[in-house]
Amino acid sequence: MIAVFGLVLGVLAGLWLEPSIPAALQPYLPIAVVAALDAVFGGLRAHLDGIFDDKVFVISFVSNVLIAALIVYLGDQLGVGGQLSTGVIVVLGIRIFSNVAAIRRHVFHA
Amino acid sequence: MSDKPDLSTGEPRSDSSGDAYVGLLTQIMTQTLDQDYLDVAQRRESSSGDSPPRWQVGAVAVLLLFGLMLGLAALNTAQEKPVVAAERAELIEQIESNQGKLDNQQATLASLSDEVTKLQQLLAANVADDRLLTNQLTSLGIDAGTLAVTGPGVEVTVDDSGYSVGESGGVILDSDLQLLVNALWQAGAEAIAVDEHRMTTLTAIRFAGEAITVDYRSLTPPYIIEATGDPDTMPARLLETRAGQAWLDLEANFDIQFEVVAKDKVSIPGDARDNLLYAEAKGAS
Amino acid sequence: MAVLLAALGFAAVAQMRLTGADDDYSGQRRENLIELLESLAAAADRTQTQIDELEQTREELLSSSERRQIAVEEARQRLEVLTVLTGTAAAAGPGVTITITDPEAAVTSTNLLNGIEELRDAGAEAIEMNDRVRVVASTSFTERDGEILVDGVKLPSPYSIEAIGSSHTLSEAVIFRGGLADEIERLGGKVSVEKADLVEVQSLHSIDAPEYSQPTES
Repeated sequence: MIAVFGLVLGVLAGLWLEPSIPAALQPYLPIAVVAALDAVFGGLRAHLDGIFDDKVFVISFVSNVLIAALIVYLGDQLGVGGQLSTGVIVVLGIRIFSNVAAIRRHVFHA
Repeated sequence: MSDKPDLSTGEPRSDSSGDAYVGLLTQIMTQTLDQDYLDVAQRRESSSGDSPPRWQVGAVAVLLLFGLMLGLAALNTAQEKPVVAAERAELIEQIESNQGKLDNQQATLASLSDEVTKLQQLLAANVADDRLLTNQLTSLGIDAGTLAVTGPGVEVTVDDSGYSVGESGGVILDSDLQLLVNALWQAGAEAIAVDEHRMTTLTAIRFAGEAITVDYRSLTPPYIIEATGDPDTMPARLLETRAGQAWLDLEANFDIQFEVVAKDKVSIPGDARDNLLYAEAKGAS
Repeated sequence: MAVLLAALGFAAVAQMRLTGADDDYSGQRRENLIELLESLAAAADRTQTQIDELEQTREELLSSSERRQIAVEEARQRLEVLTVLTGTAAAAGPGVTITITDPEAAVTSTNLLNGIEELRDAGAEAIEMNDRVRVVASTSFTERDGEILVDGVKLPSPYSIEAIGSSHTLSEAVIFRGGLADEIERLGGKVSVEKADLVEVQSLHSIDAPEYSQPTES
């Protein structure tokens, strides 16, 4: 419950405060969000499986975000940023899809 | 699928770890949950107890961060969208206006090229016309005497006798020269000049005061008459004419010089006068 | 199930509509658009260069065609004068008509030649005899068996001479003391001069291409 509250608070803060992100980091925000989404759904599924652990969640979240951003940054330096971010999104998308499917099975038992 | 061991995604992985090769896609599809959750869960079963509270705070903080990122990303995209769309619209507008401009240019180019081709054809056709005109001008100019000509012909030199001026018979009269020129035409001359004065239809040989005038200019003897024409036949034909006979008489009886010489080349000047004050052509030739 | 399939069908059709209705550039990425814009600009530059070149060519052609037009106009005027001088065209203008009667058949070709020279001296520009023979530079006057031939054409008396020029000067030239009129009257003939505002010289002199004369190279 606190976790959900934190999430909503974060969204509101982001929308309200409109903190300016450095231009250099701007291209990596969307990919970081997708990576974070993967960690969040992974955590949610683990929670429903009853094996959730806060430490693992924090570490997976932070590492997901950083690695995703790093890969895209590397891709940009090599001139294949667009293609690489597509690849990252495909992989993360597949993971999110299957995690969400598992969550659905838990929620609807189907 | 409801009990834990079945759910574990670690099982396929432990199976596959023995395999020499697992497809990358298969791995991505099957291993969707972090292995760490399972490991930690197994450890916890043995030791039991919840995770320390500081990690719980961390989890909330991370979620807060996630929410922040989500909001920011949404905001960013929402802000960028009109900018991107506007930029794109502007780009498309530019492309379309350039396209239109290019179309116009190409139309202009096509009509210009057409026009130039027509002009060139016209000029090319004109060149032929002009050549015809030039040829006409040349042949008429030779006949009319406006063009200087060169060619084979004869040179006739006549001079008064040594007698003093005024003594009848020894002086060449205008009519003598008129008849000589007349005889040269008769003998087939194409162009005649008397003392470098071209004989045209406007040129008169007259007597004014004490001197013969040609084209209103006084001449002094000896008079040199040049004519183009057949150098082989002209001298003989000239002497056959009545004027030729008369000149031979003059030469014999009055000691007047009369010399006809065939020439390979005589130069006859043109008379530049080619404007008419009274006569107007009626219908081209 | 049916509802789901209906929704799918609806969505598919809507998307197809959307795609079809959009302009040609909807599928293009921004980079492609920029590239297209640049190549368009380059093409426009090239076309403009071509247009400029063609316009210059056109100006040159037009001005040379204009110059030619002027030259041709001058040439035609000269040609007109030359046709009168050479007797290859009929001519009209003020002048005189001279009639010479010769009841005693005493008039010679020399008399007529002298008369023509007097008319030339008085500025006659086109002369015709007996409405038959055009008198030009090369016209010769000869006699055969007591008859007068002008350029080989037999001319019977009475002789008529039509001359275009200043009618006053021409008539003065004929009747001045010791001139043609006096001479003919001395031979028993009669000369009458008629001034006219319009004298027409109809007969033509045909010219052959010169065989021996070349225009002098200047």
